[in-house]
Amino acid sequence: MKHPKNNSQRYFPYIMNAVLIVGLVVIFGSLNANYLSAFSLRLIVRNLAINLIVSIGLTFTILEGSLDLSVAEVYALSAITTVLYEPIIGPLVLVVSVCLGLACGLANSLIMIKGRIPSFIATIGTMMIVRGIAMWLSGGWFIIMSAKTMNPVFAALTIGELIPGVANYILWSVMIFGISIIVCFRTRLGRRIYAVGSNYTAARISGIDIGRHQVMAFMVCSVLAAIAGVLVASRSEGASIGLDTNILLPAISAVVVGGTSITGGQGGPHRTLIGTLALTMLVNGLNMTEVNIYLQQVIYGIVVILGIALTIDRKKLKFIR
Amino acid sequence: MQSSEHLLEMREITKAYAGFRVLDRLSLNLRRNEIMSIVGQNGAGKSTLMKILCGAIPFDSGEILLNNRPIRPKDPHHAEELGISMVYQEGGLIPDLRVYEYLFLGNEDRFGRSLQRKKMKEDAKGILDYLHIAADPDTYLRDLSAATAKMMEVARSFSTIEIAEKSGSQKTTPIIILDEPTAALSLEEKQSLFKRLEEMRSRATFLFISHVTSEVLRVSDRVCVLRDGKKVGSFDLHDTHLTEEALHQLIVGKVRGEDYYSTKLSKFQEAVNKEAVLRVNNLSKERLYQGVTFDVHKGEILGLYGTLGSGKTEIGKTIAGILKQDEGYIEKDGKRLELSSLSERAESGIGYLSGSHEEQLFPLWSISRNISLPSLDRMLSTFFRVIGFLDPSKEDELAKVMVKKLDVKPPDIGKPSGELSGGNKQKIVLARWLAKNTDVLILVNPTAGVDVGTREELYELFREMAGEGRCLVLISDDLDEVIGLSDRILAIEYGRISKSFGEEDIRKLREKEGAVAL
Amino acid sequence: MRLKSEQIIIVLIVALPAIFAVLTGGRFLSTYNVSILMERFAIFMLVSLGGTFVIVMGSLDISYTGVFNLAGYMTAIYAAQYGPLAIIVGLCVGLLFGGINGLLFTKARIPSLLVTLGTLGVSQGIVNYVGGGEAMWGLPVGGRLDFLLPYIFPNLPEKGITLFAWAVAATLLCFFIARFTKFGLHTYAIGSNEEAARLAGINVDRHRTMVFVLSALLAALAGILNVPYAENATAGAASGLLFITLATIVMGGTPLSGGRGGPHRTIIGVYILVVLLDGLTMMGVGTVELQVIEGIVLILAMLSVIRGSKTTQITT
Repeated sequence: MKHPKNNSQRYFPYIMNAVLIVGLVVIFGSLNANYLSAFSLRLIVRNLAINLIVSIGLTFTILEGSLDLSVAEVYALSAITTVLYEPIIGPLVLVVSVCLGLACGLANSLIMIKGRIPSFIATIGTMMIVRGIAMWLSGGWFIIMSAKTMNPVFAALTIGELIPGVANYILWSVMIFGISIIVCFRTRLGRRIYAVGSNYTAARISGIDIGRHQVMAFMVCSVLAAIAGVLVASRSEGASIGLDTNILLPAISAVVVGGTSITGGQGGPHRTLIGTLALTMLVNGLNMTEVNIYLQQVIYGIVVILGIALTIDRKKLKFIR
Repeated sequence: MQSSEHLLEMREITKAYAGFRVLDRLSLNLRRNEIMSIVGQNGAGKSTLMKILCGAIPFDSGEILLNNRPIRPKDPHHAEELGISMVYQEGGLIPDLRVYEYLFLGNEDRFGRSLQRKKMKEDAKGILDYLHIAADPDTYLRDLSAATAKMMEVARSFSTIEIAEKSGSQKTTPIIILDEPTAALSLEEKQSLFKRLEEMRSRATFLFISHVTSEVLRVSDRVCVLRDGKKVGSFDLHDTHLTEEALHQLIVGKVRGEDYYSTKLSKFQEAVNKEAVLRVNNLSKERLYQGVTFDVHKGEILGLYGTLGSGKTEIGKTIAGILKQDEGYIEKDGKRLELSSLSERAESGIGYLSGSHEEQLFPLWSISRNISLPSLDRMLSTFFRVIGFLDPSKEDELAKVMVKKLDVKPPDIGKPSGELSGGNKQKIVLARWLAKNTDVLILVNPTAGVDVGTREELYELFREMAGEGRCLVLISDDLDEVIGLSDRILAIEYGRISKSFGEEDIRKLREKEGAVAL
Repeated sequence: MRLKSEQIIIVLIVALPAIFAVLTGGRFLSTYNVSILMERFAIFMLVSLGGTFVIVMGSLDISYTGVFNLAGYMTAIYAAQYGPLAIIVGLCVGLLFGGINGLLFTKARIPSLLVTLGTLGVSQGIVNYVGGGEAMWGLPVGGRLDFLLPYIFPNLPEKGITLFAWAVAATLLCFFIARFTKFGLHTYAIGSNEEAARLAGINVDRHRTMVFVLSALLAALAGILNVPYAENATAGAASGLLFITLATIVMGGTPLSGGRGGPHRTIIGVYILVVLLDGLTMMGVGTVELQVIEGIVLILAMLSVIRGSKTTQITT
């Protein structure tokens, strides 16, 4: 049985994104004939894959009604630890990163719940702490991990090509997407997370342990950010603290533009996929037509504001702070 | 146009929203320097009437006469110019402001171009003295007691009326509307407030909106009862002696005919098993209830009855886990329950059903999903149980069974629950608890806003559930409902259990249709 | 808990410098270090003043670093040609972004955190674009703006002292606004209970916009002053200060829920933080550890001041 909603609300994000994508294709296709080439499409998919993982993680916290601003730092830290420890423990860096993600998620949610602080503040705090750790480990430099000296298992897992021409991290992305869809729509956990985000009081009365589910959502979010960090370190053959700036705004934008309401309870990874697709296409188009990278940040800002304004559920925000 | 000696007259006031009459040809008059109470249940129209009077919303037809002159308050500021101001139930206070800052907020200009704190303080003291309020104008509102803070809101009303009148028409006795002013006050604070209101009576006329019958009878000169947008009656308390019960009945009204008890419900008289499933011991919560102790037995429907504001709802919510008690404990099947852990309650088999849908249902979700939510652990598919993989067909199965059993209309399990009628929404919530195999249900005004036909269906369902061995704690403002359904009744007054009625007593009550008897 | 924190603050104000003085063998209180402290204090103070008003009002403004950077940079660019008049450009930047923040908040009903997140991105993006990079070295301003920081005392790092004077002046101005004007009073009223303020006849939307504009103007001013002070203009001048200034505001005793505190409280928060950071640096703590400490400070500040019940799960 599908989630029934009144039709306009259900389809609006899809329409919005469809329009956006079509618009992009038309605009950039006419400006640069290569936009729709196979090469360009591959580029889009490559960029999309890893960002999607982070965005999906963020989707979980947003669905639940919170916001995790520390994802970018967890991502960066995970990438740095990967580069640092891969020569020593090879593919086990994945385990390290997952543990890192679990710890961060736990910390974020506990600070929020026990300290009774809004999630965005709690995560700003942890963001700074994680950033500090990342800076300390990397010394602020861009540290390198050459593909040639990588542990073969690790290399195979991340940048190998099970399917010729398709890097494995793309498969990771697909797999994570699939799992998150299943979790959201077909598991207890997903159902309860939607309940909490949708109507906090009713969820509570129905006997759902709110705190526990918030912890789960945050842990999923940080773990996915950490996994993405491992993959990007491998793909870029290095990592630095600067990774964080490249991912926070795009990740949030993707979720918002995709149509997952920032007030929680509506949307999901499928919408985030579309949002990520639209934004990645936008960015690629801008790159191809050689628009300055900083101007892109401006555009991101505008897009975020628009997306939020259009998808927000005002009934829930009785006070607008 | 007839003239009258009344200060204010409201004649045949009607207000409708989308065809539904919230106020239906209501007439009311107000005498100078009196304290008049407006009472009624939620939805009776009291707030709407007051909002019309203070200019927050317009009225459709009828007229309002102030000192024999017709008026039509356009907005709250205009109403203040006319001499009418409202003190809201909550949210009217600005805690971080000082008294003198608050009294003149928005009107600072009358003191001069820049902020004249000294002068404001002096004038504030003047107003406070005039109103017999002993307080230092320099204190922050957040540091005042709740009663004094409420008085400050009254003082502010005075102040704004006085300032507004200067620019408006003539001076008149200020009319100050108090919307449930005692909502957040303790017993002592309420006494304090009433005393001050009486002292201030010579300065103004007060319209006191309340749903707490005991307070109304204590402080008012006259009482006006509203029900469903109409005036049921107005009573001068100096002439007529009105008991709380009588007043309560006027407020709540009778819902069904006299032979209801004899035909419909008597067939459900079943012997109640003496096994105590739920034990409530010495439950206390400051300002709400004290020393509440009782047991609920298997298969029993226990009714808790009290006038509005007696604390019965809070007791129910505490048992359900929504509120936390200060002292005392609750035991189910011999095991103590944690403070306000709703998830534990649900696991232990305690469910909660209230008259308010927003806090219980997910309107955009289908009926099926709403019902299955607490029971997801049993909705797992045969494979992948470990990760909590759900089997929607099981949910649909369950929903179909429930929908049939409870006769939900329309029986479309995919329909968003927000589209159902009130009575059917309640059935969904009931279905939810039935599905979870709860054996204790706390019902708080479960049939509020439900049409007569569905109401009776719900009553039959309650009786059936009890017959199957469940216990129900029925907390309701509707006396008929409580008398008709319960095996045992506890009367709650001022937060304490005042009387207990067993089977025999209830039988007698039913014969007498004992409204006042209780 | 509230009363106790007041006492803690007083203890900190006195004890911290004393502790550092002892630990550093007196170096902490040297003339040189004190002047450094004053400079740091001035910078933090200038950046935090605007945010203080917004928080008192009950909202959040995280766009100020972007405005700071953009205003400073634009002023620097135009200073080369137009000299002193370039300041107008910088201030206009503040006006513009403050206005945008206010409009989006009041008309589009987007929570302030999200609005200012967006304008932060936009303003920072613009300055990055114009400047062409994270750090653009030494845009030749060539002293055209030095008049802003005139030379007062010999033998002291003069720019720092003057900056401090500016900070003091700005703080006094803000304090005056907060305490002695109707505007200030209304700001507190809105922060304490917006609905009641509206009922009292205050035009909340207009007031909010004005406060956002004020905040952005102060940020712009800080950015403009930073140019002659740092003797160059970079696109990322204030970026590191973004969240730590929030912590100083909150730590000083201006709760995020609004209605209380103000510039006189922010002074305390800034003081404590500046002393703390400087003292730790003097004792050899590295920049990376400081980052971690800043994060912890932020969380602790929030924990001790937020009253908890108002916002439990709502993200904004």
